Amino acid sequence: MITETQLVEGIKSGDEKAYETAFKLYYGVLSVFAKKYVYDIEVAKEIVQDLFVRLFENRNSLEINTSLKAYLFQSVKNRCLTYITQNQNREKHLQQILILNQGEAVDKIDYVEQTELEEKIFNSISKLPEQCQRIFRMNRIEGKRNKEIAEELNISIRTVETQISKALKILRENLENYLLIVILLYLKMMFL
Amino acid sequence: MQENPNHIEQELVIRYLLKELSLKENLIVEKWIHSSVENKKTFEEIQEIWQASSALKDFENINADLDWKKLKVKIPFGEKIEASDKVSSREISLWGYFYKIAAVLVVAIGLGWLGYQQFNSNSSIVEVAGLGEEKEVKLPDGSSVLLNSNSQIAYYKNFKDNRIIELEGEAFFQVVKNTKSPFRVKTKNTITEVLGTSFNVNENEEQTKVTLVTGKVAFYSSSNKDEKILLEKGEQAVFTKGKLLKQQKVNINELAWKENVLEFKDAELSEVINDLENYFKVEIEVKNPELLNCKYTGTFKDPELDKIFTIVGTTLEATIEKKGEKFLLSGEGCR
Repeated sequence: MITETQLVEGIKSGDEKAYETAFKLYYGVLSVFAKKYVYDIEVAKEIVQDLFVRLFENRNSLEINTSLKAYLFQSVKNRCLTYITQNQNREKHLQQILILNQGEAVDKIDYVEQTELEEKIFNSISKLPEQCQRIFRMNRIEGKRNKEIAEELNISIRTVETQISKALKILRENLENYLLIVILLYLKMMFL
Repeated sequence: MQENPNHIEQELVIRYLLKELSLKENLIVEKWIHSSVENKKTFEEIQEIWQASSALKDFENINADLDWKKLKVKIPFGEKIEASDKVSSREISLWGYFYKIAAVLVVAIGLGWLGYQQFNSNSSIVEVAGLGEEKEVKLPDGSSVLLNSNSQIAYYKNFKDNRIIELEGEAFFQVVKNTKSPFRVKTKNTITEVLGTSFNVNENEEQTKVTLVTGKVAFYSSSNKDEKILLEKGEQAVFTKGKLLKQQKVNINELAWKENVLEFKDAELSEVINDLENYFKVEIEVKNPELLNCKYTGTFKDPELDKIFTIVGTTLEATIEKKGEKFLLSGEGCR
């Protein structure tokens, strides 16, 4: 198991394994985080990938005072804000973001905790019981309505609803500690 | 409602969040929420998880292993020489040695490139991907080409000195940077020139399309070398009937064949059908034109046509029949 300190050391010295580990650890959450700013997952992924290239280029002058994760989040956020301001369809794009955020300055909104919660949920889904997991994914990931799910799996709508409730119950239990901390911050954000 | 919600109440809460309840039912739920601190907390937890799970799809579609493989090529790990200008003096003989791919634009030179007639079997190499096949080819300079079904390329044996590829069909290129020798892909009517980048060229009877994934590319018509389009990453240029057009937005399903994912976001059925036809190389006819306005949202990983038909069909209340070589879609259409 590699420690955070070793990881940072590896990054500063240009060790490929360190970059690979950091990338695989944080790519998902950083990309989904970036997507909250730029709205396009491909652009988001590109931003994160560019960051890792630059990380290597500037490794000699890197100063990571907080955790690596916090540093990466901050860097991604900065790049997203740059992207937004440089976007060719600037006016339209900014307007869109402002409307969706109901007027709050986009750079003041903090999506880090929200994204981390989303990642935790994603990781928890795979631990749900099989039928329960399948139904929850069909609903939340594939975007199917309960009626469609019932038809496809040849079960009653009641069963579908029960299974989704069960999933929520399990997720709530698993994330209990995390939720308590996040709720306070979440309430500050706009509910989309 | 009790203090501790059983599963019935959780469903009520979800339907409340989805705004599916009647006014009366809404009031019942709200009363329950505010009746105790516990209930409020429970509600907020459910709300939070429900809301946060809308991002699941995004996480699902991220493949860190794959993207790392593509990315590490661009990072010069273990290179002793820092300056990228010394690139050209080194022999690129193995796939593992790559230089940083720069976003440097190559201004079209357009001189001295070779046409079809100059290729003869003694000095050139031809690589073919058959119908339904995909083939990966490594070029002598370390670049790689992924040929899509029913496509072929041809290049000279002295490729390192003269990096020209003739393409028929569709291929995805990952090009190694070499400032002394520009990399060019020639199709029947166009030339795509690049220094170091990854891009897709799709050529068929009617048009040639170049989709840029990373880096920068110059794309021009072979009959008129002054008319050129400069592409940036994420952009696409199309050459059709003698005209060059630049398209900004790229349909994510354009390169679906490379990663085996088809994604539809509130897409009109006409678009879905188009993407399915291109991906599976089939012909789909729609009986009722009203169906084309139906919208569909969904993501298919490692898509299988019959599964997709079932799922899309159920969602849009349409049926699919196979008539000879074609598929026929019929239904009432959407509200």
